[in-house]
Amino acid sequence: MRDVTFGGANSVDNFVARPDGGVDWLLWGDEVAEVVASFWKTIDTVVMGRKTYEAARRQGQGGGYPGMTTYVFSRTLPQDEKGVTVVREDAGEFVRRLKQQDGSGICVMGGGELGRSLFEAGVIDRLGLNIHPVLLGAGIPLFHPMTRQIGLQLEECRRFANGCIYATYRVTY
Amino acid sequence: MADRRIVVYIATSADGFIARKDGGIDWLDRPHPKGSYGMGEFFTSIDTILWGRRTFDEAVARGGVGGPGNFSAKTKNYVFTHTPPEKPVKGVEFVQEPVAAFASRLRAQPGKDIWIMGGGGVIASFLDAGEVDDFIIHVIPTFIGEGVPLIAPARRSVPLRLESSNAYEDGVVRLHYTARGVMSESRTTGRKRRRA
Repeated sequence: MRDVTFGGANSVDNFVARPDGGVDWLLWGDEVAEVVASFWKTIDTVVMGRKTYEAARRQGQGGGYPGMTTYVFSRTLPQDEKGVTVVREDAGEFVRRLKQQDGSGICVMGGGELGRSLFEAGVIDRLGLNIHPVLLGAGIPLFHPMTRQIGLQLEECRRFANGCIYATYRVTY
Repeated sequence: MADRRIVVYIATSADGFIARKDGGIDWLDRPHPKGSYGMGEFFTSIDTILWGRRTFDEAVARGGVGGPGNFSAKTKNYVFTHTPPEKPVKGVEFVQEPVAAFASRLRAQPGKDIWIMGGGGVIASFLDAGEVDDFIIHVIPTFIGEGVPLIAPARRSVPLRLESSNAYEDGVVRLHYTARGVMSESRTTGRKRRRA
């Protein structure tokens, strides 16, 4: 079965961006570049919500990712978005079916709203965090409130030279 | 003697909460690995505990201020509140003083380190007054879904310095950050940043 991975770069208090979307606090480095590159090799599909898609498009990154099948969940976007497939049906059900098809890993891109739906549907298998040494206090959260409690199993915890912590978990529900 | 440090020593769920909405911490009830994440050493390093009123009241309701390690009578407890109880509580001083003034008074007294027990309101007040030296956060491998955030929300931007990290066999990750003084330092050294 294909693994579905959710995560990203977050502050210690679990924000992925400032209230205005700002990510000036993000740190880059060889270690994270390596992690991202090797993760990217394990996937062939990206799923995202409409807001993440529109934000990427505003930054000139529309049209999905080269070599990846990209699905955008939206009930309002037109069907003929270039390079991506717009999905109108329930995200949890769709991803559940996707996992049963042949293929490599699936990456949940962007904010926590889609993440929440997929956690609640029980279809996310892995969590990957790049915890940055900063407190933002407010902003766009990585995790939105959920009605269920979910168990995790720590897989890996590494300290990067730039003060970030890279932690991956298997989701055990 | 070394300066007294004011330390937020706490556990959070992996989704960033220190308690359920109703204050519940049942999800912290889990077997500890041998050594209990170094808790014993931490408890001997402090002689003072700072509480928010709600956290304090919940601890009392659960069966005492003692809490983990059952502190000796030598431990000084301060509870921040706008409405102190009419009857005094043994071993507890209720504080209405502004945080900055209180903190510098406490730092000027000789003693061991100072533990901010929480909750999120008291942590936020000390953080925003620049009075938190250390965060020692134990990330529990569980999402509780919703609850009380580690720090009461407000726009802020506080750079931290990662001092150490430990991953334990039960999946708990212990992160030690320093906060006080990191701001001015990062300003002068201009840490390398990149927009993703």
